[in-house]
Amino acid sequence: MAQITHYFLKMNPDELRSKLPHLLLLTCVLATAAITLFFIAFIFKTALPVFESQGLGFITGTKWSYSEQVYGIRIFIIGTLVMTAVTLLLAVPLSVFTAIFLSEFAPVRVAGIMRPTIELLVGIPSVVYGIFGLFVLENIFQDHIDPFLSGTLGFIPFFSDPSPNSGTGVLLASTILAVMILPTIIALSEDAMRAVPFEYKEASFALGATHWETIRKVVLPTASGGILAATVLGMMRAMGETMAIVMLLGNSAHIPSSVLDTGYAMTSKILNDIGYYCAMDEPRSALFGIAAVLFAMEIIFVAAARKIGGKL
Amino acid sequence: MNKRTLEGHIFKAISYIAAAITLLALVGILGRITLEALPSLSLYFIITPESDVPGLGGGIANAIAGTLLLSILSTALATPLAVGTAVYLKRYAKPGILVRAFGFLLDVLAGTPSIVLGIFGLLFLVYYMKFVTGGFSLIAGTIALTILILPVIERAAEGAIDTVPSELEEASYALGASKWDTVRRITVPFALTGILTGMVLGIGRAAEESAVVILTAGYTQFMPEFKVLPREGFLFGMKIYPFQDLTAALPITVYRSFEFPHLIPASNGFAAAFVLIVIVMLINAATRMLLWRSRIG
Amino acid sequence: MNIGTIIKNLFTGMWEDTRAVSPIVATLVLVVVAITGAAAVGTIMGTFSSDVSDQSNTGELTSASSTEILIAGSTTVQPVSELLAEAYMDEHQGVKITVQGGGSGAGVSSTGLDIVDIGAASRDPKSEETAKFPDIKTHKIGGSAVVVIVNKDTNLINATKDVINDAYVNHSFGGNLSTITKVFDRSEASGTEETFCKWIGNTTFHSDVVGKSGNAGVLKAVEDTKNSIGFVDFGFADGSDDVIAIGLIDGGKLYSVTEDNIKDQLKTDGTSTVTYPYKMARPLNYMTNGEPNSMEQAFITFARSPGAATYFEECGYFPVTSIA
Repeated sequence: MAQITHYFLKMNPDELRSKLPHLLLLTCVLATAAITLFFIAFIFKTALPVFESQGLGFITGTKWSYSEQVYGIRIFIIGTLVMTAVTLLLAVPLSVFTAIFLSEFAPVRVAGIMRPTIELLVGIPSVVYGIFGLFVLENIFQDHIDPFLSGTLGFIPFFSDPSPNSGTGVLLASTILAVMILPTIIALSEDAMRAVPFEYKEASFALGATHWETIRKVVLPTASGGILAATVLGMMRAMGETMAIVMLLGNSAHIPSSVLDTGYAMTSKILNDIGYYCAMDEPRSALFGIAAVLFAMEIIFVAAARKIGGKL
Repeated sequence: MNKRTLEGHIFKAISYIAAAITLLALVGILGRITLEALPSLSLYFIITPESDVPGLGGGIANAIAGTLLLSILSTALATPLAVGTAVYLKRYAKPGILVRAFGFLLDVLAGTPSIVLGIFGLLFLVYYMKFVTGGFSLIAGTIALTILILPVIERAAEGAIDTVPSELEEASYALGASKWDTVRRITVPFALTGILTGMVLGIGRAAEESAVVILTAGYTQFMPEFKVLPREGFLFGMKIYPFQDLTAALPITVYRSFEFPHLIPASNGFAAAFVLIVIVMLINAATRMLLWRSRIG
Repeated sequence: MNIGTIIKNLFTGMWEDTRAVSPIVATLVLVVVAITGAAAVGTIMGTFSSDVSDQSNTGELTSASSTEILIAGSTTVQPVSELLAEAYMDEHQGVKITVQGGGSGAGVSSTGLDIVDIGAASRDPKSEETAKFPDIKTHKIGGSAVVVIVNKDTNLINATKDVINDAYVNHSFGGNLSTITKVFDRSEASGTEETFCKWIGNTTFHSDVVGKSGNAGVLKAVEDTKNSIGFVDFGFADGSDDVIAIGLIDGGKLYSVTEDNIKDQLKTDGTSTVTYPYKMARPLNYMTNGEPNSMEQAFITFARSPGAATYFEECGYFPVTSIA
């Protein structure tokens, strides 16, 4: 402390004036870093006791019981992963083709209306998607989509319907999630496609390639980094989503056997139980443990996305 | 028609269909929400707090005021930090491992699942820091949301600073301006459009968040108050309204219609959702217009 | 011009090309922004000024803790708390009562941690909770019971405890429940689920049981799903035409779900079954950390008074006056 005061006293006013902005900005950076690091450390520290008591069983175990003090979260991890995978299967083709439409085929006027409309929809709160899925889509899934899928494709176990009278399940949750992340993936993929230098395309046309061949062989490969980064971003949003999933996935503690089955996601487990167990040390630590695992998965994806090269 | 053109046509058709599906889904959702909202939507519903209506539901002025307070305060808190960080990283720091690590940290923060931030807020801000925040409160909600939107604004600011032509800054240096003068008079003004866009994104993100808000700000049927009352056990022995008081928010109003479908009509929830979407849209539109004006002028 | 056209114009005008913003659309948006802003400021200022007048009326500087109560906890108790609070505030100007959910467990722990003034729970505090928070005082304000419900198409009128237990624990359906295909429970930890678990004698359900959030969530799921079964508070089942609250056969005797049966059971000391399985009946409690202050006491007294009975009945619960 004394050194710092001395440092400032030694400077004449002019010197101080020139150093001050630098120091102020540095304070901003340090504050941001401190907040972030404290937040991450807090999550992992609160989760530590459960890792110590459960060991690797915390991740591989399938039993979660407060009364027996056994906490295994494999079911929730797989639930989250399955749901995220189905979401991406639905969302990525749709958004990439929509992005192709916007950047390559759409008349200027149409793209000019569509682009900001899609951007605005990023702002629809997830809880709204949740009640929309619950009050509007669930009945449609229950009466039409689920029976149709299990009727036509039911011979594949992946599409069989273990609960014919219910619309909730992986497919419903994933459909809503897909709609939720569409705008993000479309906007970022389109940016990436539009960033492809026009000379590349001209060269392709000059060689006699058709418009589609140019898209497939020049535009998409060049933009692939951006599209992948967009996908990862959408994936992280899907994995981290809470409110809508609590309403739509079904919250049954088993690994979904098909896309029409119900499941349980990590985020849902945390939200459902944290209010009840926040004051009890061990269950709280277990719930923070789920958060820590989720966080760790997210950090890995961020690292992967940065490796791919696209700026998130 | 040969195979190549046929293939082209097929994929062109697929693109058109994909775009149509996307647009249909999005417009369909908006349309359905509006339709479901209509029975509840009225001026009375918008300007009356829930506490003034008998029974549950019936008014959302408390939630509108709470959402505005939460999102504007958290953006006001996050912006200086975010812009300061962005300017430092882009103009002061020497590029290297530290800056890259910092970028990674911010990316991690940006991707944080909101529930993780929510339980952090619940345990640290609401329980442990109760004597400062007052438990479930506007401050607790604001701080948690600030952490949520900080990387959003920071990234927008970084992007904006990247677009500043280096010729301008070099010219400024050539004229003998100091680094701070250049940043203050050239870099930041030039990047202002991008920074403002980032702030709007931040406000929108804060306004739509539900998991974090329900775990930190709680919910109240009342309008925010502006007063100070003595209160034991609080910092300085007093409770400062509205900061240490509970705060309502529109997403929570929506969630309540799901929690109590037999007491609150579903149209109330959809109407709250509709108002929320319109608010975010208006802020967006107003900024766009403002930016457009300033660019012309 | 209808709203649809305005919105459409807004979109086309605003975004297809920024230069194309028509002055009319711009003005329209500005007007809407201005009105919204004015309304928000107006209402905020309105509460501000009414506060000032409230305070000048009382003529003294009151402490926050003597004019405000925060109630949180059980989602079963929440609706009745909100009605009680509203009625109480009508009579007592200057008092402000805020009601939140969170679940019975959250009610107990946040009372113990002094996060809330009054906690609400649809059960008595458990032993580990009283061990952790020894100062908690319980104030019974009413009672209710958990009932088993089935979709009305099922045409079921009763089932034995063992069969119900089998449905939840083994996901197998015998006896009267042979037509059932779908089982719902609560997704979050709740007093209602604990009460039900106590009755069937099992705490871990089969993994095919689907969790729904809140009494309301389970009720809606059973209403919407053919051949389904679930459990909710009596107050929730009572108001629905699409579900049947089935009679419970326990120890060879049939207990049908009627208001009188539950009320009569709640009047007993709760250790043996008279008109409804005693483990399915439960108290609705308020809790305070230590003795309530005068303000909290006044509200709790109001909740226990005969005048408050109608708010309990409105929610389908039994006020303490009717079961004492």
